[in-house]
Amino acid sequence: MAAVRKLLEALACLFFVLFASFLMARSVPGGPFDQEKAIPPHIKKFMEVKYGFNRSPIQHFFSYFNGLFHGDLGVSLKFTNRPVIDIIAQSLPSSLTLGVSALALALLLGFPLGILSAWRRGTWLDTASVFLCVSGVTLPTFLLGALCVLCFTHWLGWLPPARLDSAEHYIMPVMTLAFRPCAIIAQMTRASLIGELKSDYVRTARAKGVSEARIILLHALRNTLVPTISVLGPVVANILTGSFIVEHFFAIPGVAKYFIEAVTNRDVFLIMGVTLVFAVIMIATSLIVDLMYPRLDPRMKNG
Amino acid sequence: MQKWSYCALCLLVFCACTRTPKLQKNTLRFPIPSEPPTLDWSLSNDHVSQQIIYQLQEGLTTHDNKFNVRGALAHRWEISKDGKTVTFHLRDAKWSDGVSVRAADFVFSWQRLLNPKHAAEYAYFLYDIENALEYNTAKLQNPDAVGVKALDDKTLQVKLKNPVAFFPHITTHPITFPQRQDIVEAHPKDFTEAKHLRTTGPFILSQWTHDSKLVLEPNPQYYGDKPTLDRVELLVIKEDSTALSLYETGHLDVALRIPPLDFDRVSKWPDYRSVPYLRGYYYGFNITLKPFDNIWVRKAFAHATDRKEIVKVIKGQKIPSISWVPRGMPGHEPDIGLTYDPDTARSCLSKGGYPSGKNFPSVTLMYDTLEMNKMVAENLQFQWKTVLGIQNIDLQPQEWKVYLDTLTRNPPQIFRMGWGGDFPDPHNFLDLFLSNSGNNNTRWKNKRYDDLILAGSVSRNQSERMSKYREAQKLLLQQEAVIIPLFQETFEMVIKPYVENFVIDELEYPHFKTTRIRLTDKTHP
Repeated sequence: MAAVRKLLEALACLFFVLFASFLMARSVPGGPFDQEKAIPPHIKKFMEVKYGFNRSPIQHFFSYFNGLFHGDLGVSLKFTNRPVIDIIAQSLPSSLTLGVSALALALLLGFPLGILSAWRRGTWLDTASVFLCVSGVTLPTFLLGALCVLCFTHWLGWLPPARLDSAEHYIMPVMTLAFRPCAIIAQMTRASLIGELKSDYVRTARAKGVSEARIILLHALRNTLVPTISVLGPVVANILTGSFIVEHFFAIPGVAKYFIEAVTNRDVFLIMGVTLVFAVIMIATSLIVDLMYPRLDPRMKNG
Repeated sequence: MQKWSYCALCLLVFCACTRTPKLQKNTLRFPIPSEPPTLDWSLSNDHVSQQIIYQLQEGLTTHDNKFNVRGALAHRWEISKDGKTVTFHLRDAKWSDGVSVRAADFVFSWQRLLNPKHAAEYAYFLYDIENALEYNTAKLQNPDAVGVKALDDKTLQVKLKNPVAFFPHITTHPITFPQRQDIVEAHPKDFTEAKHLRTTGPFILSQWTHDSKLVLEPNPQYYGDKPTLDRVELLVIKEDSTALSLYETGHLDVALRIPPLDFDRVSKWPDYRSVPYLRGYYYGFNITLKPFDNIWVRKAFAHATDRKEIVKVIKGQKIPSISWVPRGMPGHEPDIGLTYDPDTARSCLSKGGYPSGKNFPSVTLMYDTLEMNKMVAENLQFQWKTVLGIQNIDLQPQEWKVYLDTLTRNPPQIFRMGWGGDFPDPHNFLDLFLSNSGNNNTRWKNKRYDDLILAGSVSRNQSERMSKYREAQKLLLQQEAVIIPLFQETFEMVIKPYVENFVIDELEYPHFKTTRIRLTDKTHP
C-alpha cells in the first residue's frame, strides 16, 4: 500500500514538473522564432499557429499533455520538424551508457575507498582518500575534463580527445563524469562507517575478539548502507547534470546537451522531452531508494 | 593484486596501440558546430545546414570566385526587355538516382517554399515573383498563380513584379534549389535522410548518424567535374577547443574556429589561415531615444571609435572597417564612413550640446552574452570615456533570445548586431536599414534612403546601381551616422598540409568538390 502511495506521489510530482517547465519555457522572453535575421511578421504568425503558440500557455500545455498520452512528444522547433521522440531515442542510448558506466565506476571505487579510509583512519591512506574526495567534490567538471584531455591526450597520447567512435573513447568521459559521484559516495561511506565503528555492538564484537575485517564487512557495513544509499538520488542527479558538460566537452551525441541547447533555442517541445526523460530518471531513482530503505533497515518498516 | 595490474597494463597498451585514428584514405574530416537543423533546403535557415546542402544540391545559377553569376543547372538564361521575365534553360543534368532534372522540379520547390502551410522562413526571398507574396500570405490559394512556370522539361519561366537586377544571384541560394515531388510526397517526414535523399550536386549523402556524423560521397550522376575526394566526414563538434584538440591529435583535417585562448599559439603554425567572409559587425543607435536623436552625438561616437584597437583586443585577424558593405562584395566602399578622429569627435559632441561630455545623460549599451561581444563593449566604453569624457555608459548583457526580443520590442540607446550575406549583392546588406525592414532596430526611417535602395534594386545598369548604393551608404554612415560598422569577420582556421585546394568562400560555403588530399604525404594516416 505504501508503495502504491509513493508511486502516486511520484506521478503527481512528474505532472507538476512538466506543467511548471512548460509554463516557464513558454513565458521566458524571446521565442523560438526570434532570430538574427528577422522573419516577416506574417511568416512568424504562420509558424506560431502551426506549432500552437497562438494559444495561451495553459491551453497549449493541455494540448501537449494530451499528445503525451498518445506517444506524441511534438516536434523540434530548431531541428525543423524532427520528432522529439526520435531525437531522444537516438541520443538517449549514448547518455545512458555514459551515465550507467559512470555510476557503476563511482560505486565500485567510492565504496571501497570510503571503507578503506574509515578502516585506516588517520593514516596516509585516509589523508590521500580525503584529499581525493575533496578534489572530486570541488573541481568543476569542465576543468576535470580539460585536465584529462591535457594529460591523457596531449601529454601521454593514450586516449582520443573526444567523440564516441570506439570503446576507448568512453574512458575519459566516464572518468570525468564518475569522479564527483565517487567522491560523494566515498565521503558518505567513510563518515557513516566511522560512526558505526564507535557503536556499542562494535565495541562488544571487538571485546569478543572478532577481527576488524569481519566487524566491518559483516556487521557495520550493512548499517552504513542506509545513509549511503540515501545520497544515491543526489548522486544520480549529479551524474545527470554533470553529463551536460561532459557531453558538450567531449562532443558526445547524447541527450543531456539538449537541455542547454533546447533552452537556448527556446525549443519548447524538446525542452519538455528532455525534462520528461530526466524527471522520470530522477523520480524513479528516488522511488527505488525510498522502497529500498525498509529492506535495509527494518526499523523503517515500523515508521 | 597482480591480476589488476595486468588488466590495467593491458588497457593502457590497448589505448596506446589504438590512439592513431583508423581512417580511410582520401577522406576529408571536417568539423561542423552543430547537428544540421534540417537538410530540407526549402526550410533551412542556418549556415550549418546550408553549408551541407551546398555540397549536395545545385540550383539554376552559381558564383565564380569573383562573385560573377555563372550557370549551374541552367546553362543560360534570358531577361526580357522590360526586365520582368527571366527564362532559364536547363542543361541535361540528372538527379543522383538517374532521373533527369526538369523545370517542373523548380516549380514544385518554389511553390512548396511559398506554401503558407510550411511556414518557410526564407519564403520572402521569392517575393519579387508575381503573386508570390499573395500566395505566401494566403491571399491567393492557387499555387499556379505564382509567376513560375515550366514551359517544357528544360525551360523555366519566372515572371517578376518589378525588374530585379540581382535575381540571378537569388537563384544561387540553397532555398531555390529544385525538389523531387515524387520523393517528397513518398517520404514527407524523412526525405532528407540518407536512404531517401536525391541530390543534383557533386556529392550524395551516404550516411547521417544524427548528432554525430554525416558522410558525403561523390555523386556518380553529377554533370560537372567529379570530386577527387572519396569521402567527406562531417563531424558534429560544438566546442571549438574540442575541435582543435581533435585537429592536433590527427582526428580532424580542418579546424574552423580557433578559441581566443589558443590564438597566440595557433596563429604561429604554418597551417594557420585567416579568411574573411561576408559578415559585418556593427553598433546601432536607437535614434528615437535621447541623446542619440541628435546627429552630432551619433557622429561624435562614430568618430571616437578606433576599430583597429577593438580588433587588437579581440584577437584574430578581423578586418577593421568604417564602411558597411563588406570587402569582397560589389559595392564595397572602404572610404565611406566616419574615421577615428578624436578632435572631430569632441567637436561634434560640443555641437551636439555636450562639450567635454558635460551633462551627458546616462546611456545603456546592450549586447548579447558572448565573450567577444563583452570585450568589444568594454573596449568601446573605455574609448568613449577617454575620447569624449563620457562616464555613464551602462553595459547590459542579455542572453541571445532575450536580447533579440528586446531589440524588437524596445531597442536600447546603443546595441550590438551583425549581419551575414545571403547573396553577394550590396542590396543584401543595405536593405537592412529600409524604413520597413524587420531588421532595422535603429528605428531610423528615411525616404531618400528607401528610394535609393529601390532604384538600385530595379536598375539594370550596374554602374548606375553602384552609384545609388554609394549615395545610400553616405547617407546611412556619414550624413546620418545611424550605425557604427566595426569590423568584418574572418574564419581563423587551421588546415593540414596534405589538404589541398580547400576553399571556404565569402558566403561561408566550403568547396569540397575541388578539395584534394595529397595521398603520398606521410603525415596522413
